[in-house]
Amino acid sequence: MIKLLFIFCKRFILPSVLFTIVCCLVIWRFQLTNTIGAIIWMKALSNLVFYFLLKTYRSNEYYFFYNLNVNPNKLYIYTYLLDFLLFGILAFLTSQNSIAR
Amino acid sequence: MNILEVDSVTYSVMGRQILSDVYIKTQTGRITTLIGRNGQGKSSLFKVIYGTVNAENKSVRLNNTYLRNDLYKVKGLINFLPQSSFLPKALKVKEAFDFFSMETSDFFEYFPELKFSTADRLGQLSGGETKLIEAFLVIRSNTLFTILDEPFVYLMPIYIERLKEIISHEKKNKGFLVTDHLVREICDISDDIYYINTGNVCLTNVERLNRLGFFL
Repeated sequence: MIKLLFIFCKRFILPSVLFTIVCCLVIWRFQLTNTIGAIIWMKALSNLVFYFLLKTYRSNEYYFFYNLNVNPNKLYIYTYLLDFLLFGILAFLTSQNSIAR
Repeated sequence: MNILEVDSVTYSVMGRQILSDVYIKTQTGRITTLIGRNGQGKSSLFKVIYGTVNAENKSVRLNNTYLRNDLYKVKGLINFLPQSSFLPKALKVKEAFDFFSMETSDFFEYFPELKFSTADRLGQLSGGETKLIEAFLVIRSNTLFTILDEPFVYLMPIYIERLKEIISHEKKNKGFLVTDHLVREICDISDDIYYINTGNVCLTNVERLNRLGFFL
């Protein structure tokens, strides 16, 4: 299951991490309390956009997971949660070192 | 012997009726073929059976027991070869075989002319080579039933012949639901033939398909 999750994650890890870095840069520049609401919404929406892009353009690869009795939507939820956890940790660490403090 | 029956399948997309009250059956030891022109709902029917597309209505029975779960969720029951490539391109050939608990040596026994390495990534292979690997993995997997949606597309005639041999050999262990536009090739190995037209499915035979112009 972890191997499958890794294969699934690989498909949108790069855009997602890039977006997390952009969010962290915004937090670093403008401080967490001023931007937190907008950034969380942006991050959540960007992940949904990645999900729909994958579903639209690479849905055929979903059959790899179906053939192994795994629902790709379940993998997406795990990926989403992991990505948000990473985002939360990085956002917190960045806010501790924000230049706007 | 296992019998898979699907009936009362009704499916429409944006108001257009694709399938209406469809019945289809397959069982261990039989290759059941679905023949129809483009856009008649063959792939949709297979996806509905597999459980990846939601129909307005469907009823699935395995050995006369109703199944409430989508079939793909039931381990060891059924697998599916879609029309287009489904294996992730970043996967190595060996890894793909490992996921399906199979040995690459079995594959190269059937196809010794293929010279790619098992360490190659699937993205490095041609469309035909990838299709052949995918078809082989799905056909040889340890499931009770297998759905093949255009298994012969992209393949050269000699590989089609070998794939037909593999399917015919594997039917001892499982039931097949197959569709392909190479009607002559697929009818060669079929035990039951269904014809789909405007969302309705009925049992047919080679003579009737010939009259309908499927063998030009």
